[in-house]
Amino acid sequence: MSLRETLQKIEEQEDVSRPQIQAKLKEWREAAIPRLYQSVREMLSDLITDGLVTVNPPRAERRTEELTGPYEIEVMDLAIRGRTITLNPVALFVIGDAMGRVELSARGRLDRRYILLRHKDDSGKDRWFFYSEKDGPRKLPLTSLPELSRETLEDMIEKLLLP
Amino acid sequence: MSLLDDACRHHLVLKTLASEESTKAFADPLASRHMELGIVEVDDDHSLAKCKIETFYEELGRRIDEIGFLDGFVAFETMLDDHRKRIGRKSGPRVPAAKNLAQYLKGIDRDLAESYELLKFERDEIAHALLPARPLVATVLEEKEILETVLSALPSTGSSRMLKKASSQWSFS
Repeated sequence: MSLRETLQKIEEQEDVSRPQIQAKLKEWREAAIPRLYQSVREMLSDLITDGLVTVNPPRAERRTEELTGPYEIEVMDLAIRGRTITLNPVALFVIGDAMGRVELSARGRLDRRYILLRHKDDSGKDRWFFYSEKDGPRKLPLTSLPELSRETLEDMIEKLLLP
Repeated sequence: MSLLDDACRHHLVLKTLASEESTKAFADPLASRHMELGIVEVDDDHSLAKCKIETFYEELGRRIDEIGFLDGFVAFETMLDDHRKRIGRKSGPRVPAAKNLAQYLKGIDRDLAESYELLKFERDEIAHALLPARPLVATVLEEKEILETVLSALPSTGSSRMLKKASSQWSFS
Protein backbone atom coordinates (compact mmCIF):
# COMPACT_ATOMS: atom_id res chain seq x y z
CA MET A 1 0.00 0.00 0.00
CA SER A 2 1.39 3.44 -0.92
CA LEU A 3 1.79 6.21 1.63
CA ARG A 4 -1.10 8.08 -0.02
CA GLU A 5 -3.40 5.08 0.37
CA THR A 6 -2.29 4.55 3.98
CA LEU A 7 -2.94 8.18 4.86
CA GLN A 8 -6.33 8.11 3.11
CA LYS A 9 -7.27 4.96 5.03
CA ILE A 10 -6.25 6.51 8.36
CA GLU A 11 -8.27 9.64 7.53
CA GLU A 12 -11.31 7.52 6.66
CA GLN A 13 -11.01 5.61 9.94
CA GLU A 14 -10.73 8.86 11.89
CA ASP A 15 -13.76 10.26 10.09
CA VAL A 16 -15.73 7.18 11.09
CA SER A 17 -14.71 7.30 14.72
CA ARG A 18 -15.18 11.04 15.24
CA PRO A 19 -18.93 11.02 14.49
CA GLN A 20 -19.23 7.90 16.62
CA ILE A 21 -17.63 9.68 19.55
CA GLN A 22 -19.87 12.69 19.03
CA ALA A 23 -22.91 10.41 18.86
CA LYS A 24 -21.89 8.75 22.11
CA LEU A 25 -21.39 12.13 23.75
CA LYS A 26 -24.79 13.32 22.53
CA GLU A 27 -26.41 10.17 23.90
CA TRP A 28 -24.58 10.63 27.23
CA ARG A 29 -25.57 14.29 27.64
CA GLU A 30 -29.05 14.19 26.18
CA ALA A 31 -30.31 10.73 27.06
CA ALA A 32 -28.29 8.77 29.63
CA ILE A 33 -27.81 11.56 32.17
CA PRO A 34 -31.34 13.02 31.92
CA ARG A 35 -32.68 9.44 32.25
CA LEU A 36 -30.56 8.90 35.38
CA TYR A 37 -31.82 12.16 36.90
CA GLN A 38 -35.39 11.18 36.07
CA SER A 39 -34.87 7.79 37.76
CA VAL A 40 -33.49 9.52 40.84
CA ARG A 41 -36.50 11.86 40.93
CA GLU A 42 -38.81 8.85 40.68
CA MET A 43 -36.92 6.92 43.37
CA LEU A 44 -37.19 9.91 45.72
CA SER A 45 -40.66 11.00 44.61
CA ASP A 46 -42.30 10.42 48.03
CA LEU A 47 -39.63 12.47 49.78
CA ILE A 48 -39.83 15.20 47.14
CA THR A 49 -43.63 15.36 47.45
CA ASP A 50 -43.36 15.61 51.23
CA GLY A 51 -40.85 18.45 50.91
CA LEU A 52 -38.05 16.50 52.57
CA VAL A 53 -35.97 16.58 49.41
CA THR A 54 -35.81 19.51 47.00
CA VAL A 55 -34.38 19.26 43.50
CA ASN A 56 -32.40 22.45 42.92
CA PRO A 57 -32.59 24.24 39.56
CA PRO A 58 -30.32 22.52 37.04
CA ARG A 59 -26.83 23.86 36.50
CA ALA A 60 -24.21 22.97 33.95
CA GLU A 61 -20.52 22.25 34.41
CA ARG A 62 -17.77 22.14 31.84
CA ARG A 63 -15.86 18.94 31.14
CA THR A 64 -12.99 18.10 28.86
CA GLU A 65 -12.23 14.56 27.82
CA GLU A 66 -9.39 13.45 25.63
CA LEU A 67 -11.68 11.96 23.00
CA THR A 68 -14.53 14.46 23.06
CA GLY A 69 -12.86 17.79 23.78
CA PRO A 70 -14.74 20.32 25.95
CA TYR A 71 -18.46 20.09 26.55
CA GLU A 72 -21.06 21.18 29.06
CA ILE A 73 -23.15 18.78 31.12
CA GLU A 74 -25.95 19.13 33.61
CA VAL A 75 -25.25 18.48 37.28
CA MET A 76 -28.06 17.54 39.65
CA ASP A 77 -28.19 19.06 43.12
CA LEU A 78 -30.59 17.91 45.81
CA ALA A 79 -31.17 20.02 48.90
CA ILE A 80 -31.70 17.77 51.91
CA ARG A 81 -31.73 18.98 55.50
CA GLY A 82 -29.45 21.92 54.81
CA ARG A 83 -26.95 19.87 52.82
CA THR A 84 -26.43 19.63 49.09
CA ILE A 85 -26.24 16.15 47.62
CA THR A 86 -24.75 16.26 44.14
CA LEU A 87 -24.91 13.86 41.23
CA ASN A 88 -21.96 14.82 39.10
CA PRO A 89 -21.32 13.24 35.69
CA VAL A 90 -17.55 13.11 35.71
CA ALA A 91 -16.77 11.45 32.41
CA LEU A 92 -18.18 9.41 29.57
CA PHE A 93 -14.95 7.63 28.62
CA VAL A 94 -13.63 6.03 31.76
CA ILE A 95 -11.12 3.50 32.97
CA GLY A 96 -12.37 -0.06 32.71
CA ASP A 97 -15.53 -1.49 31.25
CA ALA A 98 -18.07 1.17 32.27
CA MET A 99 -19.77 3.52 29.81
CA GLY A 100 -19.70 6.61 31.96
CA ARG A 101 -19.01 7.63 35.53
CA VAL A 102 -21.13 9.77 37.84
CA GLU A 103 -20.21 10.70 41.40
CA LEU A 104 -22.67 11.01 44.24
CA SER A 105 -21.45 13.13 47.12
CA ALA A 106 -22.45 15.64 49.76
CA ARG A 107 -20.84 18.97 48.90
CA GLY A 108 -17.95 19.69 51.23
CA ARG A 109 -17.90 16.20 52.71
CA LEU A 110 -14.50 14.70 52.01
CA ASP A 111 -14.66 11.31 53.68
CA ARG A 112 -17.47 9.76 51.68
CA ARG A 113 -18.24 9.65 47.98
CA TYR A 114 -19.96 7.07 45.78
CA ILE A 115 -18.96 6.28 42.25
CA LEU A 116 -21.75 5.25 39.91
CA LEU A 117 -20.78 3.37 36.78
CA ARG A 118 -23.01 2.90 33.78
CA HIS A 119 -23.55 -0.43 32.11
CA LYS A 120 -25.68 -1.06 29.05
CA ASP A 121 -27.41 -4.42 29.14
CA ASP A 122 -28.13 -6.58 26.10
CA SER A 123 -31.37 -4.72 25.40
CA GLY A 124 -29.50 -1.40 25.41
CA LYS A 125 -31.01 -0.35 28.71
CA ASP A 126 -28.84 1.58 31.16
CA ARG A 127 -28.05 0.02 34.52
CA TRP A 128 -26.03 1.85 37.16
CA PHE A 129 -23.72 0.06 39.56
CA PHE A 130 -21.80 1.72 42.34
CA TYR A 131 -19.06 1.43 44.93
CA SER A 132 -17.81 3.67 47.68
CA GLU A 133 -14.58 5.58 47.19
CA LYS A 134 -13.74 4.65 50.77
CA ASP A 135 -13.53 0.97 49.82
CA GLY A 136 -10.65 1.72 47.48
CA PRO A 137 -10.35 0.72 43.83
CA ARG A 138 -13.08 -1.69 42.86
CA LYS A 139 -12.12 -5.33 42.74
CA LEU A 140 -15.31 -6.73 41.28
CA PRO A 141 -16.59 -6.81 37.71
CA LEU A 142 -19.04 -4.02 37.00
CA THR A 143 -22.22 -6.08 37.15
CA SER A 144 -21.17 -7.74 40.41
CA LEU A 145 -21.26 -4.39 42.21
CA PRO A 146 -24.43 -3.28 44.02
CA GLU A 147 -26.96 -1.75 41.64
CA LEU A 148 -28.63 1.61 41.95
CA SER A 149 -32.20 1.23 43.19
CA ARG A 150 -34.53 3.15 45.44
CA GLU A 151 -33.22 1.29 48.51
CA THR A 152 -29.54 1.65 47.66
CA LEU A 153 -29.95 5.32 46.70
CA GLU A 154 -31.72 6.11 49.98
CA ASP A 155 -29.02 4.22 51.86
CA MET A 156 -26.23 6.15 50.13
CA ILE A 157 -27.90 9.51 50.78
CA GLU A 158 -28.48 8.57 54.40
CA LYS A 159 -24.78 7.75 54.82
CA LEU A 160 -23.78 11.02 53.13
CA LEU A 161 -25.97 12.95 55.57
CA LEU A 162 -24.76 11.18 58.70
CA PRO A 163 -22.33 13.19 60.82
CA MET B 1 7.54 0.99 50.59
CA SER B 2 7.55 2.55 47.12
CA LEU B 3 7.38 6.22 46.23
CA LEU B 4 3.85 5.59 44.96
CA ASP B 5 2.86 4.14 48.33
CA ASP B 6 4.36 7.19 50.02
CA ALA B 7 2.54 9.63 47.76
CA CYS B 8 -0.73 7.83 48.32
CA ARG B 9 -0.21 7.68 52.08
CA HIS B 10 0.52 11.42 52.23
CA HIS B 11 -2.61 12.08 50.25
CA LEU B 12 -4.76 9.96 52.55
CA VAL B 13 -3.33 11.65 55.66
CA LEU B 14 -4.06 15.09 54.23
CA LYS B 15 -7.54 14.06 53.16
CA THR B 16 -8.33 12.59 56.56
CA LEU B 17 -7.24 15.80 58.30
CA ALA B 18 -9.30 17.97 55.97
CA SER B 19 -12.22 15.60 56.34
CA GLU B 20 -12.09 15.86 60.14
CA GLU B 21 -11.98 19.64 59.85
CA SER B 22 -14.99 19.69 57.55
CA THR B 23 -16.96 17.47 59.94
CA LYS B 24 -16.19 19.88 62.78
CA ALA B 25 -17.10 22.85 60.60
CA PHE B 26 -20.52 21.44 59.69
CA ALA B 27 -21.25 20.71 63.35
CA ASP B 28 -21.08 24.42 64.12
CA PRO B 29 -21.23 26.56 60.97
CA LEU B 30 -21.28 29.84 62.90
CA ALA B 31 -18.23 29.09 65.06
CA SER B 32 -15.90 32.07 65.36
CA ARG B 33 -13.08 29.94 63.93
CA HIS B 34 -14.71 30.01 60.46
CA MET B 35 -14.98 33.78 60.69
CA GLU B 36 -11.33 34.07 61.68
CA LEU B 37 -10.43 31.93 58.67
CA GLY B 38 -12.57 34.14 56.44
CA ILE B 39 -14.86 31.30 55.36
CA VAL B 40 -17.94 32.79 57.00
CA GLU B 41 -18.87 36.44 57.63
CA VAL B 42 -20.06 37.74 61.00
CA ASP B 43 -23.55 38.61 59.74
CA ASP B 44 -24.13 35.36 57.80
CA ASP B 45 -27.12 33.33 58.92
CA HIS B 46 -26.91 29.59 59.64
CA SER B 47 -27.90 28.39 56.17
CA LEU B 48 -25.61 30.82 54.33
CA ALA B 49 -22.73 29.86 56.64
CA LYS B 50 -23.40 26.18 55.91
CA CYS B 51 -23.45 26.89 52.19
CA LYS B 52 -20.12 28.75 52.38
CA ILE B 53 -18.56 25.92 54.38
CA GLU B 54 -19.83 23.42 51.77
CA THR B 55 -18.23 25.44 48.98
CA PHE B 56 -14.97 25.93 50.86
CA TYR B 57 -14.47 22.26 51.74
CA GLU B 58 -15.65 21.08 48.34
CA GLU B 59 -12.92 23.20 46.77
CA LEU B 60 -10.36 22.14 49.37
CA GLY B 61 -11.19 18.46 48.79
CA ARG B 62 -10.80 18.89 45.05
CA ARG B 63 -7.43 20.59 45.44
CA ILE B 64 -6.23 17.83 47.77
CA ASP B 65 -7.31 15.24 45.19
CA GLU B 66 -5.57 17.15 42.42
CA ILE B 67 -2.32 17.48 44.36
CA GLY B 68 -2.46 13.81 45.36
CA PHE B 69 -3.03 12.88 41.72
CA LEU B 70 -0.05 14.97 40.55
CA ASP B 71 2.17 13.64 43.34
CA GLY B 72 1.26 10.11 42.30
CA PHE B 73 2.43 10.86 38.78
CA VAL B 74 5.67 12.45 39.94
CA ALA B 75 6.38 9.35 42.07
CA PHE B 76 5.56 7.11 39.12
CA GLU B 77 7.85 8.96 36.71
CA THR B 78 10.68 8.92 39.24
CA MET B 79 10.23 5.17 39.65
CA LEU B 80 10.16 4.73 35.88
CA ASP B 81 13.35 6.74 35.57
CA ASP B 82 15.05 4.71 38.30
CA HIS B 83 13.96 1.53 36.60
CA ARG B 84 15.42 2.75 33.29
CA LYS B 85 18.72 3.61 34.93
CA ARG B 86 18.90 0.30 36.78
CA ILE B 87 18.44 -1.69 33.61
CA GLY B 88 21.18 -0.30 31.45
CA ARG B 89 21.39 -0.78 27.73
CA LYS B 90 23.49 -3.91 28.04
CA SER B 91 21.87 -5.63 30.96
CA GLY B 92 18.41 -6.32 29.58
CA PRO B 93 15.53 -5.19 27.35
CA ARG B 94 15.07 -1.41 27.22
CA VAL B 95 12.50 0.17 29.46
CA PRO B 96 10.56 2.81 27.47
CA ALA B 97 10.84 6.48 28.37
CA ALA B 98 7.72 8.20 29.75
CA LYS B 99 6.88 9.80 26.39
CA ASN B 100 6.92 6.40 24.62
CA LEU B 101 5.23 4.48 27.38
CA ALA B 102 1.67 4.57 26.04
CA GLN B 103 2.83 3.26 22.68
CA TYR B 104 4.82 0.52 24.40
CA LEU B 105 1.85 -0.51 26.55
CA LYS B 106 -0.42 -0.74 23.50
CA GLY B 107 1.64 -3.70 22.34
CA ILE B 108 1.16 -5.49 25.65
CA ASP B 109 -2.27 -4.61 26.93
CA ARG B 110 -4.56 -2.23 25.07
CA ASP B 111 -6.85 -1.61 28.08
CA LEU B 112 -3.92 -0.78 30.30
CA ALA B 113 -2.55 1.58 27.64
CA GLU B 114 -5.93 3.32 27.41
CA SER B 115 -6.20 3.65 31.19
CA TYR B 116 -2.69 5.06 31.34
CA GLU B 117 -3.46 7.57 28.59
CA LEU B 118 -6.62 8.64 30.39
CA LEU B 119 -4.64 9.28 33.57
CA LYS B 120 -1.93 11.11 31.65
CA PHE B 121 -4.51 13.36 30.00
CA GLU B 122 -6.03 14.09 33.40
CA ARG B 123 -2.57 14.85 34.80
CA ASP B 124 -1.87 17.31 31.95
CA GLU B 125 -5.20 19.03 32.43
CA ILE B 126 -4.58 19.51 36.15
CA ALA B 127 -0.93 20.44 35.75
CA HIS B 128 -1.81 23.16 33.25
CA ALA B 129 -4.81 24.25 35.31
CA LEU B 130 -6.88 24.24 32.14
CA LEU B 131 -10.06 23.55 34.03
CA PRO B 132 -9.41 24.05 37.71
CA ALA B 133 -12.97 23.20 38.66
CA ARG B 134 -13.07 19.79 37.02
CA PRO B 135 -13.49 16.64 39.08
CA LEU B 136 -11.05 13.75 38.73
CA VAL B 137 -11.83 10.84 36.48
CA ALA B 138 -10.06 8.44 38.86
CA THR B 139 -9.47 8.56 42.57
CA VAL B 140 -5.87 8.69 43.81
CA LEU B 141 -6.16 5.06 44.95
CA GLU B 142 -7.33 4.00 41.50
CA GLU B 143 -4.53 6.01 39.92
CA LYS B 144 -1.99 4.27 42.16
CA GLU B 145 -3.28 0.83 41.22
CA ILE B 146 -3.13 1.55 37.49
CA LEU B 147 0.34 3.09 37.66
CA GLU B 148 1.58 0.10 39.67
CA THR B 149 0.19 -2.21 37.00
CA VAL B 150 1.96 -0.14 34.35
CA LEU B 151 5.25 -0.48 36.23
CA SER B 152 4.78 -4.22 36.60
CA ALA B 153 4.29 -4.49 32.83
CA LEU B 154 7.76 -3.09 32.13
CA PRO B 155 10.65 -5.28 31.14
CA SER B 156 12.74 -6.35 34.06
CA THR B 157 15.85 -8.41 34.47
CA GLY B 158 16.66 -11.13 36.95
CA SER B 159 18.81 -8.69 38.90
CA SER B 160 15.99 -6.15 39.31
CA ARG B 161 13.61 -8.89 40.37
CA MET B 162 16.12 -10.00 42.95
CA LEU B 163 16.53 -6.41 44.07
CA LYS B 164 12.78 -6.05 44.41
CA LYS B 165 12.56 -9.28 46.39
CA ALA B 166 15.40 -8.17 48.62
CA SER B 167 14.00 -4.70 49.20
CA SER B 168 10.64 -6.16 50.21
CA GLN B 169 12.42 -8.27 52.81
CA TRP B 170 14.17 -5.19 54.16
CA SER B 171 11.03 -3.12 54.32
CA PHE B 172 9.33 -3.14 57.70
CA SER B 173 6.82 -0.35 57.06
